[in-house]
Amino acid sequence: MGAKEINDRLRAVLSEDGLSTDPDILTLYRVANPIVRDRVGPSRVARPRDVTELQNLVRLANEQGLHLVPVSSQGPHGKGGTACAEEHIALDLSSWKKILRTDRRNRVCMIEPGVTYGELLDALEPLGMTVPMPLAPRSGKSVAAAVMDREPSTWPNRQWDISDPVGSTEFIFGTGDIFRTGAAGGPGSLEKQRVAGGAQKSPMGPSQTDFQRVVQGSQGSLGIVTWLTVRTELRPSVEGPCLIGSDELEKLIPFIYGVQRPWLGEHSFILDRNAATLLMTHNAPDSFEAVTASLPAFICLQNIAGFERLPRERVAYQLKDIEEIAARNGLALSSSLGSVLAPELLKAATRPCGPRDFRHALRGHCLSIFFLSTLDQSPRFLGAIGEVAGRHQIERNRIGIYLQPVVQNHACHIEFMVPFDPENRGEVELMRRFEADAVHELFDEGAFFSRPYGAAGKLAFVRNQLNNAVLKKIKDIFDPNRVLNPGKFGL
Amino acid sequence: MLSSEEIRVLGDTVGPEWVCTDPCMMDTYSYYMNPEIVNQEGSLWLTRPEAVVMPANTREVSEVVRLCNRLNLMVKPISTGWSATAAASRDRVIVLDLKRMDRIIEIDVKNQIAVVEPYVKAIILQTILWKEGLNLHVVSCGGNHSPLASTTSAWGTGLDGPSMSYSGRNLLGVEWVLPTGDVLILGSAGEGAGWFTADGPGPSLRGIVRGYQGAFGSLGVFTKAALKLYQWDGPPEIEVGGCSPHYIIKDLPSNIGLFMLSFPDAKAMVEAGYRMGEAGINYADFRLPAFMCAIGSTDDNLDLKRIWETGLFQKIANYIMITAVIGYSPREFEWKMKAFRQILSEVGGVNLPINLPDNTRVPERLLKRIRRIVEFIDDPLKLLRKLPFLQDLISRLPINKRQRQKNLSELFWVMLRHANNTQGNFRPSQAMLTTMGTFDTWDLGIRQSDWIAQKKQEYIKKGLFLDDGGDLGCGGTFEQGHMGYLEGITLYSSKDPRSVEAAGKVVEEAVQACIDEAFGIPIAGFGQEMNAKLGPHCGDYHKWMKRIKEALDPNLAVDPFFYVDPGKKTDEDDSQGG
Repeated sequence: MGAKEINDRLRAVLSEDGLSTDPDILTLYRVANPIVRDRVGPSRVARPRDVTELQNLVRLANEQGLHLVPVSSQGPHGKGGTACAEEHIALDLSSWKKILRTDRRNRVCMIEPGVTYGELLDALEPLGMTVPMPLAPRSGKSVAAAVMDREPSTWPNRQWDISDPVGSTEFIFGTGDIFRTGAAGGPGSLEKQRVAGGAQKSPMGPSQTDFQRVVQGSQGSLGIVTWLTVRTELRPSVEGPCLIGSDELEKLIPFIYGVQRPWLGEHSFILDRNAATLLMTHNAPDSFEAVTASLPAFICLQNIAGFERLPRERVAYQLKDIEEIAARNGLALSSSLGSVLAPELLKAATRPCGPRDFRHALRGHCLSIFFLSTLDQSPRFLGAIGEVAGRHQIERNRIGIYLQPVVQNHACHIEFMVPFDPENRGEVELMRRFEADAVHELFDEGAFFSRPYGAAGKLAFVRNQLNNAVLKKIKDIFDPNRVLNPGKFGL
Repeated sequence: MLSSEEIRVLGDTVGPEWVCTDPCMMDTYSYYMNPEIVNQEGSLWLTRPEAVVMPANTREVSEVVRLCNRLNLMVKPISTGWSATAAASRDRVIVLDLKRMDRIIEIDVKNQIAVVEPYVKAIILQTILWKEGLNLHVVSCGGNHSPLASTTSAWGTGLDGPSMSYSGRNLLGVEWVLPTGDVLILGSAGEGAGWFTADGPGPSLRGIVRGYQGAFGSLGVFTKAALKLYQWDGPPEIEVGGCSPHYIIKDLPSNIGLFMLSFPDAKAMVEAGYRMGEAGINYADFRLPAFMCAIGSTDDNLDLKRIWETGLFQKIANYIMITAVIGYSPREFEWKMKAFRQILSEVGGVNLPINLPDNTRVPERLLKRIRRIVEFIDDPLKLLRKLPFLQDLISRLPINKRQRQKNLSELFWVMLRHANNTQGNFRPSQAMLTTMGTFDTWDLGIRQSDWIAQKKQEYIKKGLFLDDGGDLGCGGTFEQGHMGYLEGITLYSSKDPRSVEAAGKVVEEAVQACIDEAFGIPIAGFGQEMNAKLGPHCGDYHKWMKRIKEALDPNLAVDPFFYVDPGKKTDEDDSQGG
């Protein structure tokens, strides 16, 4: 079938302006990451207006052998989740921006996939609620895209399961079938479930399968989310964020274990001085050197908060308990370190950073390599990345480090950031080689690339071949015609 | 019946002494909870397996499953077993009893992870973990259950839900013998990176392992599970005296409080659950219905009858929650207790003094007087409710020290050691069943509990169920009040066919109510028949499950009865999603 005929068919299922083939517009959907090779830009952009149009589009794609790559965030799309090696249509849901429901009693909200963190925080704030979120997401970042990708949040003791804060979801499988998961899975309409006292909060099921968990992490290759519920938390009414600095990571690690295990405090993470400065100076990159120089090698941010009940007393007792843990580890809590103030770092970490990823501000782009392990293993990976950097003549002090305990510190997101100039072809090529080498080295050291991007995309599926074989069977069930993001993870 | 050749090859795999076909032994694998309801003809006996095979390790499990693929047999794996879901469903099924696989493979104290085999019991693991300052979630059937089974394959509610979640959400890794016999390790352990997550890379097959319920052994055999552990701020061990059935603990440390809270009505109880959850106060909680309070207070049915007929429990214990509060530090405990008292005061809850006299020992004559007095008092706790300081004052009085210690011990065993007297529920009528039990919010839990309490009245009036007052809604909150759960228990007689018939009927009515009232997928909402009933109201999930079963188990080598049987074709199979 010719391009015109395909366009006609697409226009028949989409509303007016629902299809775009304008090259300038298509460019916006290309992966904005010079390191990612084999990028095929979309041939079209489809913007279905509602679920019916979306479902019809997926069915048409099945009939005509078209490929769809769901996109919920606004660009630039830097990580590569929307990268697709085959000709495809970008399925843009970023304009689906309804916050369908907020429920203070049950601490949950229901949102469409295009809702960003800034929009959601603004809606939750008057109700005294907030939501755990990734470290300073860019303002166009879709909440749905982040949580369906299992992105870590900065609030580890509120994450019980790695699938949190996702509650119930509705999605369309690659077959075109619409399906609701968790408590929303039924029986009954959503309205009737609420009359019965439900809030579509449980992520489990329906029945004996966690369908949502299967789709989560699939980077749009198994289902397209049309709405989801997100677990919210009470918004702190009093906060006393602290900084703990050390030139030795090994001194901070026992402190984190000590605080996280009894769930003391709230937001908590470690940044090295480079990563902290990237975050704090992304609006003023010229001050990078001065701020970096003022900081210890590693900084832990530990927020302490009170909520609606006895808030000041809560902050007071937690502060004392955390101070004791710090003292036991030869550390002290500070309100500032160098030119960084704790409240400012907390604010920077827990609000959207602006249209561009804060990591990119210094040099124009940033290579991010991230994976899961446990916090106690992190020094080993720092050693490994340093060695690889040395092999590629990359100065160790160019690399930023972000350690984020997840799932109540049962695991740890470990991220290395290497800012680079995307216009410098030599540097881009260096980053490409470095990434490939580093991912191999880290993998051999025991890094688990739970959310595989870039060079990790292929490597993560090499060792556990049986897992791949079963994943292929699952893909066969939910997307038998390989309509959704074909080739992703080799599926 | 297995052929001698089949028995021989099974024996070659696990050792001949670990293969059994003796009829008397097979019968011990055919008798579980509620068989008379599962069996349409009301029989107490479920299907007798062809053999029981006891492998020692994953390799043997894998080989047995491969044999079943070759020999046209089916496997039904069990660990500790409890309900009828542990039984074979048809001929040519061999039970894979995993009793020999009882090793604790690893405890990672720092990262709070335990890797266990199927027959590690919760109470044993907990005893070891407490010494390390750690604890694990234990489901409400008690400490003798297999945490691997509840985490990978069954349900998962328990009294420690506020602080330790739900079993299915505590799975950090799993070794899985697929129905083909292949051994798959999910997540980080599958890459040799450690047992810290079962999800990924990319899409998570953990979602196939289980949902709200597990597959009850229908998707293969789970031979190792990594469990998420939690902080334990209590003592490494507790000194115990006394003898069965009343083991008495010595005093608890001052950072632990165990309470029996009485609320004036359901609304107050619900509010307290939400508010305590939000404040992160409760370590464990459980809505204990009045009749169960009475059961728990007595050792035999005669005493139960005597005290129930006083009417006192019906007046003060209709809305009881037992609650544990534990502080990491004295400061934290103090803050939690302040918030706890504040919430009780807000909702009119009473922290019942546990040093009051034991009314099972009160003479019959006095009991009659109590009954007459209680009749004229609407709220025997009114004074305590109005003057909260009296609750603490009475609790501190140096009276009835033995009674205080006995009651404290009961709360300790139930909430912290999960040494539940589950059998006690069977004592009054010889059989119990449970219904409703969908999982979402605490509000929803109460709504279901009300529904089943009312429904039971019809049967109680006809004398088909034991008159327990109707409301046996049991459950609690989860993850600091984020979610909630209640199931409704019914006490019936397994020896009275009319009672058994009524029991079966109320289960069906409860499932229908879950559909009609949009309560959700109930505790009984699994298995071939229930999935076929509920699936059409829930996006035809059963058809997707059928395809999963077909893809993973092409030779139908694992008993599918408690999941979806791909052999049973329905009219809708060819339609959308099928």
